[in-house]
Amino acid sequence: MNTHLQASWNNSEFVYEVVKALTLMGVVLIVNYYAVRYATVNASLPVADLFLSNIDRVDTSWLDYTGAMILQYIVILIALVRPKYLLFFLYSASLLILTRCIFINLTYLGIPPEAIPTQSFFTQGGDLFFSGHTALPFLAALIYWEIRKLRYFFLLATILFGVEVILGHHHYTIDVVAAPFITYGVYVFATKFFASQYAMIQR
Amino acid sequence: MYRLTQFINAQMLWVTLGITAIFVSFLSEMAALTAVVVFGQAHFFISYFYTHKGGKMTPKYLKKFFTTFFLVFACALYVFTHPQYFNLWIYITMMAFVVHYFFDEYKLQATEAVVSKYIAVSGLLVLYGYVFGVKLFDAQLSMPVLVSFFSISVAAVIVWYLRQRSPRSFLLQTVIFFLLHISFLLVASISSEINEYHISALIVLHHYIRWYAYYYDIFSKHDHVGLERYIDVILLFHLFVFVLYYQYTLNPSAGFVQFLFNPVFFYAWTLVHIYMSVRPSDYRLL
Repeated sequence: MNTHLQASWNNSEFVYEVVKALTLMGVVLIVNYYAVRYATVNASLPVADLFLSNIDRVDTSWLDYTGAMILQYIVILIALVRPKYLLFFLYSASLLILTRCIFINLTYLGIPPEAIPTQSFFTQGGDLFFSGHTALPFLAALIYWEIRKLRYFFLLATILFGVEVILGHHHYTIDVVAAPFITYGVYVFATKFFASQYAMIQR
Repeated sequence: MYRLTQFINAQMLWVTLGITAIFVSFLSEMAALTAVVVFGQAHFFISYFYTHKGGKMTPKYLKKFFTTFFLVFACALYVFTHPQYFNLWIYITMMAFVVHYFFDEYKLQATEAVVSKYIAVSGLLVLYGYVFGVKLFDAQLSMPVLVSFFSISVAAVIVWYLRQRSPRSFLLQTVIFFLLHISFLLVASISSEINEYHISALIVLHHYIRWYAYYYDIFSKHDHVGLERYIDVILLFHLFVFVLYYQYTLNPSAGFVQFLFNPVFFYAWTLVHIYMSVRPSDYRLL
């Protein structure tokens, strides 16, 4: 990629790079679909959990699905108005999802008791460690860290979704607690691996 | 040299039409529709990309685009919720496409014709309209009507040919091209194996190929650096659409991809593209 690429919707070269990044994201989402399905099919027995064993399930299905979709649309809107973050966001999010695809198939945790898994293109219930609902908003917070309002918004979203998935018994506690640490590691790796795209944010 | 160029151009025209016809003949109905939809979306994305690259995506263009988009998609949503009108929706789109296809062919073949352009296209439109109508609405094929429309379309082509100011030998390629279409429609109307999806796949896929070949020709003659970039753009956008389509097949009823690939919405995108790509100079009467 041209390291001096101007991040502007008026620049056709930038649009071309965005399409490239979206294509990669599309491929990663297809890999995620199969990884999630495999993890769900191979899910074993539930395990005990400090919070899940002591808190009754709360129906958070609306927030889990619709809330996540709303957050997704907000992210898209932000990307449209602040394009210089877009390429790095797409590439690092793709890397995060791919990392998660590997993690969910390393150990086949059983679906938590009383859980009613959200069934969608992105998740089928058996994809547990680590929580994508917690990881992706936290990644957004890291990327938009310089913009304080967005930083706090996404940190709040991270906490909200983290609490929601535990209350709804969609995830074990460790899935949520580990997510920010893994996400931070992926973020740091992405700043090196996608240096050109990261440099666009710094300009 | 000009005659040689015209001869080569004519060969490419007939060869691409022939290759497309052979390819389509091996496709099932669903495969034909899928090919049209998938390659069609790539075609639309590429056309908008080059419109943007050419600096033509002005506020005026965007205003026109979004107005058209909302009007057409309002109709599409109505058809989506009232499936009994789906065949009519296909019919309207394909009639608009037939006009678009042949007027674009005039440009691609660098044919000068003015008023009589409409005569030839009208003749072909009448025949296409009848054959599509029979296939889409399961109407009874009437041989007298078919022969009448066949005669009208052949007569229209002859009238168009006789009215040309350009040396007529250069127009033979276009005449033969029209006659190939008329012959195909005759066969298609009689054959029960060829349905409306095959007919639309032939002209739609041929249309895409012609445009890609046209710009490949321009770039290869004048801009080799641009040619490499052009090929990259074609490949990337097709890959992008294939990936999105694969996602659609995994979950057809959810997500925004259904607004790209569900046939009802695809035909809406087609109508928007046809309207947005109209070149007023190609349609002038004088």
